[in-house]
Amino acid sequence: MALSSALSIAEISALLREMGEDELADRLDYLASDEDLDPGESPATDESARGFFELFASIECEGSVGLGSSYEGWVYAQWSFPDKRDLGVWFVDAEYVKYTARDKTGKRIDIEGSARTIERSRLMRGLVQKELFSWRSS
Amino acid sequence: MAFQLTEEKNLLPEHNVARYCGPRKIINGTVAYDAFLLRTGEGFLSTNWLEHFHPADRQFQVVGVRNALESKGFRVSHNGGFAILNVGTAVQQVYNDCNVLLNFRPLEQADDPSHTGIFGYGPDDTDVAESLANLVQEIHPAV
Repeated sequence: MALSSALSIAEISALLREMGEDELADRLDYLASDEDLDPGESPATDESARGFFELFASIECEGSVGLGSSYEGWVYAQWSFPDKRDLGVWFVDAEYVKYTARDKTGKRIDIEGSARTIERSRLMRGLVQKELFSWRSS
Repeated sequence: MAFQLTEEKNLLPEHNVARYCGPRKIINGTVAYDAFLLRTGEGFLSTNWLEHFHPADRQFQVVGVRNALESKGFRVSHNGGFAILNVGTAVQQVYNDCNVLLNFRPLEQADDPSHTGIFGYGPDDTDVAESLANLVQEIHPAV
């Protein structure tokens, strides 16, 4: 799914609600607000939220996802699985992510060697290969 | 002070530190890996040494950390928490898991003698952040 680069977090929240993901939409709205910001901390950025949504809308997953945000304003998503799989992704911008991931055996997943900042599209393909995600069918 | 430091002034394995986690760093009641990821340009992760306040009483220690942060003008949030890490466990497990040797050092700040830093990793070390977050065994309400 390719999104307009002009979409705001409010519009992304609306799309999440259309998908029935009200909890995620509420959390994203909160992360984009000034509420509870620590000194020097930035609200979640539109660009980072678009990165998250492009991934989230493209995949299906056995795990459940929760959202946070970094000091830089990157949306951060963490998936919990019923087994040893594990995933945390920082959406640095609409294109790049940082990640940490483990497969079903608990072994760390390296998509591009030891690099932990990579293109989002490469991460998605790698995580589908490692069976953390599958492509959304519709 | 209940414990002595080593000659290198690192904290000892039996020591514990608290990391303040704002509400954006707590996801469904657990500490997000993001809480342990260094910011861009940051050289260490800021923590507070619990045994500076009391040898063993956790409540006393946590109140000490909260007061230390507030005396520096840092306002802890109602929905935030203090994540507790044991130094020895963290150093050993992160080394085993990520082949990264961390050290926990006091920063010797006059206005906060309990202020310590976790050194030895960088802003791209997401695996270390995950490993540290998974070693948190206690989260205490910040307020």
